[in-house]
Amino acid sequence: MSVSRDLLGLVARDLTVTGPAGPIVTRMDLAVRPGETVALVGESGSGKSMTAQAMTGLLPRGVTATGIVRLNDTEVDLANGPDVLAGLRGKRISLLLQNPFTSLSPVHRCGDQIVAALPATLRRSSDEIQRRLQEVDLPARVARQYPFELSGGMRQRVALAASLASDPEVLIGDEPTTALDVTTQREVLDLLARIQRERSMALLLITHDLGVARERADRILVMYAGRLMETGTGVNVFVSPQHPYTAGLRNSDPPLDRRVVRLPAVAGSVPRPWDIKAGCAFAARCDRADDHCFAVEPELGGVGVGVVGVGGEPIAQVACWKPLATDEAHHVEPAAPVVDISHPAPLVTISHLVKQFSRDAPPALASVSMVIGVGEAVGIVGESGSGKTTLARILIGLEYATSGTIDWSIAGVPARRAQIVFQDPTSALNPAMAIGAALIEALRAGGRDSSEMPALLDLVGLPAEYARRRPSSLSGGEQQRVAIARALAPNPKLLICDEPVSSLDVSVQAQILNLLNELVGRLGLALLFITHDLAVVRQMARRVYVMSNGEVVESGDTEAILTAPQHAYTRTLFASVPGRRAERAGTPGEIDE
Amino acid sequence: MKRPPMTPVICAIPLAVVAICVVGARWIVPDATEQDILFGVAPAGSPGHRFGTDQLGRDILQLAIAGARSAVVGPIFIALGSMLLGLLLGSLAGYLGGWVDLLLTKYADLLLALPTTLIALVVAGLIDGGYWVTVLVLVVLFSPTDIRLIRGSVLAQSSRPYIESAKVLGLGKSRIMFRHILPNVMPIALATMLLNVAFALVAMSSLSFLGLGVGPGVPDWGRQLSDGRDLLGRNSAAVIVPGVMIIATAAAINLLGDWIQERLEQRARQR
Amino acid sequence: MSRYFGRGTVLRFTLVRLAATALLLVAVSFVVFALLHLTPGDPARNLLGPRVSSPEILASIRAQYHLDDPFLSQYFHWLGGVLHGDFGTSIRSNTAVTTLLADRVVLTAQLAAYAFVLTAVVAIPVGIFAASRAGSAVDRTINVGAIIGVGAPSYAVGLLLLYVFGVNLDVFPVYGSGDGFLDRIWHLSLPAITLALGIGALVFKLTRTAVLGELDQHYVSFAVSRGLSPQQVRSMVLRNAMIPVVTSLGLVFAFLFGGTILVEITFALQGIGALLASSVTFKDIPVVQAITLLTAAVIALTALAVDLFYFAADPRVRKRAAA
Repeated sequence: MSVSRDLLGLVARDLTVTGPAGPIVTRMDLAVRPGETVALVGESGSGKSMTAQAMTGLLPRGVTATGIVRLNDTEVDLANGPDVLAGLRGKRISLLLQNPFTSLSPVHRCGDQIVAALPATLRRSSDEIQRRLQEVDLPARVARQYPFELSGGMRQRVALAASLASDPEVLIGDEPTTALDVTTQREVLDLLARIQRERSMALLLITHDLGVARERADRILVMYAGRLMETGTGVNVFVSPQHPYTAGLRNSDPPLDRRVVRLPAVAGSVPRPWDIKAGCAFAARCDRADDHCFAVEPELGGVGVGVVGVGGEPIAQVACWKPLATDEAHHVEPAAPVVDISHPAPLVTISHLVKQFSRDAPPALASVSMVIGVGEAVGIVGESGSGKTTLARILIGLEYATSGTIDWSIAGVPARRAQIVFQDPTSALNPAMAIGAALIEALRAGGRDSSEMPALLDLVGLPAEYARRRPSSLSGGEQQRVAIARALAPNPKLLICDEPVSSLDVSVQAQILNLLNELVGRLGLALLFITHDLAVVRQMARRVYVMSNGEVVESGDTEAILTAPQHAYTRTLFASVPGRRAERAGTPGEIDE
Repeated sequence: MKRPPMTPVICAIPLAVVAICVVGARWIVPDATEQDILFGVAPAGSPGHRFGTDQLGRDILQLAIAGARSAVVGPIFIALGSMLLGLLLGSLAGYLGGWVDLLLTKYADLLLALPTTLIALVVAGLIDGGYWVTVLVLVVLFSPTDIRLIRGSVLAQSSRPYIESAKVLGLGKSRIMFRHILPNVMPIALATMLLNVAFALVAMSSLSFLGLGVGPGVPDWGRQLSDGRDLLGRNSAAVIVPGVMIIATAAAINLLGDWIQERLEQRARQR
Repeated sequence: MSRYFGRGTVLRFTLVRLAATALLLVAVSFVVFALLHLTPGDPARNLLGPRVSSPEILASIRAQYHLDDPFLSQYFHWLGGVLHGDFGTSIRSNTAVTTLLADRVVLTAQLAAYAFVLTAVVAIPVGIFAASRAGSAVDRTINVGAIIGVGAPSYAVGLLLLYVFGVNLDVFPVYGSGDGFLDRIWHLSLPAITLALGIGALVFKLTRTAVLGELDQHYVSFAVSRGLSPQQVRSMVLRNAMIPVVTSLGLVFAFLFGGTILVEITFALQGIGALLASSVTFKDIPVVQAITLLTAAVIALTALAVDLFYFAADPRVRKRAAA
């Protein structure tokens, strides 16, 4: 990484974004030098996307920004309105969006869209189009194709080529790989890194994925509720975080390399930036906060003598009245390596399950066999299209298999055998029904009495007065707790969870995972945990099945497989997890590395 | 896009006036239909007749007030009947699927292949059964749109995870339909029903304009406009008064219904 | 475009749609034919109309119209005539139905075309304009106007316009359809404007919704962020929005037919719509059958044209058809 010392790259000072409800981003400063990759990390509502939109003049109607944006030698005052940035867009600073499925016009050809920003003579040149396709490793035929004919990863490459068309000096990637499969993610991020090197661009990477930030960024900025909490290098931020939020975020992320007894979770949910009237934005969820923290908002200040950047400004900074000392970052206790010699009796045996949706397409499931034992926690890992969701739906009775058998060792109504928790809790709850009523209905369906409803709420950690509320007034994490409670109401022997935490904020994910582990242990449930995330499955399941393209490619003890994966696909999956390499270099608790 | 909350208030005023006319015509204008052929046509501004009289000597304004009932009551029944059919057949089609769905969809498609006015004219005209028969005919003709709407809404809800969760819980089909799907479909159904009143108003009055539906001598806006056409120039108020009343009533209902629909869409987007 | 997909796909698509259209028309023709028997009263009596009746005359009617034959054979007999262009004889005027229609079709077609052009030329640009200024006072005002326009009955609007422009201001003629090209346009202006107000409001709403829908899409903000000029972005949006807009124009065609009936009566124009209305009142069933079937055919063919347009304009539809 060559950092040119004469050009400053992208610098933003005092960036404030205000929406109709109040401030969304408050006094942000950031700098990205040419050739440097800076990651802007934050959960939903942190204001990271708004920051990017403010710097490119793309804020939605009703939202305004103030502050100074400087691009190498050009300085712009945002108070003059977003139009001042019109001349810079595309030519000097460009934005790559998250969703490759909607970033491109569906009725124009890819080649034409890539060169659309170029002057007319170049637009007609097929050589120019080919040159740009080659830069993003796309075959020549893509020029004449329409976006819907390409996969997500290919579409994102087209979008990348399009955003680079006018050769900008700065590229902002707003969650550019979030919508992609893990394996495709790695390819696209590698491509981004290569292009950045070749063009000596400044790259601002916006992400909620800590692993991505760790692995790809030279510097990391942590945002929370529209404010910068901490900045520093990967080592600063993840090995010795200063801010309690950063530490909490880092600890909430399930580690890939070992199983832990309990994920240290951050209590509460992410607030809306404009709801915080005074003091530190994180104070309400911080276990170190005192009266001063609630009263006065801390400023971003440098810590650590000697850690200085190029222009003399300190690289590592934190905005906190009571920052953590280097050794104070919570250690996460690894679970004792479990030698599981128990072979529980099978609860359900799946034999040679096949599911064919239509005659032309390949089968969604091609002869899958599995066993789930009584009270056992089993995981299914796979990317989209692996068939994992289809399997769950057949198991729960929402679909019928084309052939194969499912044998249950217990008799009884299907509703009391297995229940399911879906990925999106908002659409999994009836918006017109109060929570208490929904739970009572579920209890009655399971043959239990409605008087058990308060106990059910308590079981998932929700206060009794929530019974009267409607789902729309609850946060995502709380909604998922309700969904879990409802699933447990009929006392099922097996709880199926299909990506139950993928839609939730990182700091809330850990809460739900802990809750599930605790419930499984307390109630003696069997658990079928479906996910694409290897780190999560490690925390949740004793045995795991790895699926790809409708088949089980590898299965066995989770620890064994994740320590030494055998099958090529599992190895690719493992290697693609972002931050895996960096993780080994800086995990808390690993003293002798 | 923010609408000022004034909209429902502004719309409510003409609707309230119409409601009063419908309910209270008997007492407000008891002599509306009394003819005085010898008196004949009087232009607007004549003493005792602010808006003049028509060929049969009837006061224009009084006739228009009396005509509100015929113009409005039938359409309300049409909207109600059509939505009831829509709810019944639409939920059946959406939830049961299979050949029931296919049959109902094809029936709806066939009926929608021709413009409503044309079919209404042909059927109501050939049957020629009077006001309530026409209402019945229009209920049948309006129902395909509502069936399609409810069917679509039920289908959209059925594939959502909360319905699937209900199925997995083992809840019965009728319980899922009545307790889960329909409560979420009702807001759209009600908003559409309001808009249907406006469509039915236009349809019924168009038919009476063409001479169908109401009997002769029964006060009705459409009939009044048809009679008033020949009076253009002699007493143009014969056309203006009922014309404005019809347009204003239809506009008020449409604006209100549109406002409600937008509110519903906003709420749906927030979720 | 023909480089992209083989001739086979276009042909197959067209044939399938043609077959579906033909099937629909057959179904409609069956219902239309059945109108004679569905009308209350004895079919022979109805066909006789107001003329003097006697058992012999009734018997000859029964023979003429094959009323004693089984239902299906009556249908095929009638259908055969229809396919040869013979719709029978009008009860009222005792002339061939086809002749009656031929006299009037031109006027109605001119009125419909006039209204259609007015709509397309005014409503679509206004819709695009309103979408680009969405939420502003101008947009809201136009919207209110459009909602009123959609809901207002065409005959009431027509009569009011007649009053304002015909009687009061004396700009347009009150009755008649005029002779000669320019005179015809002058006479048809008020009726066409009346029609266009109602339909135009609908097209305006659909256009505005379509363009707004596209403006909300991510590809628009991505295009802006890449530095595309406002004109380039606009043409990209319109290319996408064009699809639902043209489809809406096709939909509107169906409404047009309902509207011409009322407008022709209001303005005393001797078109097909007015003929239908009077034929219904008179129970002149052969005429009613002919007009209904013709209308269905025109609407069905328009729907077919819209489908073909969709096929040409949206590459995703082509892909699905080729699969």
